[in-house]
Amino acid sequence: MFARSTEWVEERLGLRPVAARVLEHPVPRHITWLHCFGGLTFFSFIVQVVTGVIMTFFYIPSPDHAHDSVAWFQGSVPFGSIVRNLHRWGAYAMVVLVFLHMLRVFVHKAYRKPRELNWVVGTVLLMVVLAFGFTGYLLPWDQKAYWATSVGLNIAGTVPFVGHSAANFLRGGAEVGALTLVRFYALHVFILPLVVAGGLLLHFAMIRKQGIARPL
Amino acid sequence: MARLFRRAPRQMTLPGIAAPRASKPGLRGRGPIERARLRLVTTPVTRRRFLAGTLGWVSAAVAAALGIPAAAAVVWPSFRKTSHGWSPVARLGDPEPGQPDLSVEGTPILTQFTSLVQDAYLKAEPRNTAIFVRNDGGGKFTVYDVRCTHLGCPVNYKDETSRYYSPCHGGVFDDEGRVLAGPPPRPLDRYEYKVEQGVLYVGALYQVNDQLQRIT
Repeated sequence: MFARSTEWVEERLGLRPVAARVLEHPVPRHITWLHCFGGLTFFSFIVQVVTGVIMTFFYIPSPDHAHDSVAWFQGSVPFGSIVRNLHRWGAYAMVVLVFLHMLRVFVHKAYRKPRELNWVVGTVLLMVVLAFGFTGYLLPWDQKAYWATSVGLNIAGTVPFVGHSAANFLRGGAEVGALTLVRFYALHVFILPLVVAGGLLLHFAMIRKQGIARPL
Repeated sequence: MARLFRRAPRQMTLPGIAAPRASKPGLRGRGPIERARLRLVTTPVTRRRFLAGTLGWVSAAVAAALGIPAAAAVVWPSFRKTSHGWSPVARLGDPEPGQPDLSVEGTPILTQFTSLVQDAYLKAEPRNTAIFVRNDGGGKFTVYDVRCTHLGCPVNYKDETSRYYSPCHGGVFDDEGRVLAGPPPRPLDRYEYKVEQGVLYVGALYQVNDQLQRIT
């Protein structure tokens, strides 16, 4: 029955050659386990997406309820602590893996012509991952989150000329408060995911077009 | 577009791939286990097939490890039960200010009880719930839920006819809560009650069937 329905779709769309081109793409002989860090970063990203979407079913980005909703999710919902801690440790793992990936590309000199643009996109993606970490850190709205964000935004404020305005924009005023929480939530849940999805598409399209760099 | 999708796949030159056969003879009309067994013994297990299978099963395991907690966390709250405990309605014979006088027998009185409701991560809050209380004499009471059993519109009681009327779709109930007309599927729901030290308390909500026997 299953085979027949796939045939039905295949007869109309002819997707099998497309899938074959994607999945059976030959990889060069010289790649090593070190080349896995990019894929592992992407895998940790998938984990973040799944666990993050689950938590949006429970999280309230309001100073009144943020902390209680997180505590309730973690303490009272079955598997809640697993989902939340997967998100938390997955975030740490993603930062570590993305750094290792960058290190590998750097050491292998894989950023050289013609792959400069992919290096640039990768750098942007690294910044977005760190921005994910920074914005997500505030959302539990506990003491650690509050002070980490206060200090982090003060650091941003020391950037010459634009720093003060940028920090105030992110903070939604002069003090960390209700608006800061919603802004960070909007960034973490809507804006950064869109940016990272676009960046990943470019990143993957370019590696597919240009192939994996020759060995040293 | 169609031309792009219909392009033939590039021929792979990796070793160990048997040319895919369009259909295997003798597979039709057998059970799934028999089919799988036949496929296993008639198709040689190449390195490629082994790796593809391993990758598939490992991916499925990872998806389950991630998907089951995620789905369980989201689905679980659907089956929460609300528990009111016992809430006081009125001191009988000597009602305190704001409490209804329940000394009149036979006539339902529209009143309310206040209970502490803990809803997920929200702090426990007092919540008022409307009820009809009828003194049946001899220390017996009947406590009706005000919500029509069709779609939950609050019913009105008319003394002239001794009937409850739903304002929405023409549901009519007699003074025992039995359905006389309209779409309601069962009589008005009722609350458990008890009298302790001269105070009437209401407890859990339950449903009754057409013979007014408790069914939940």
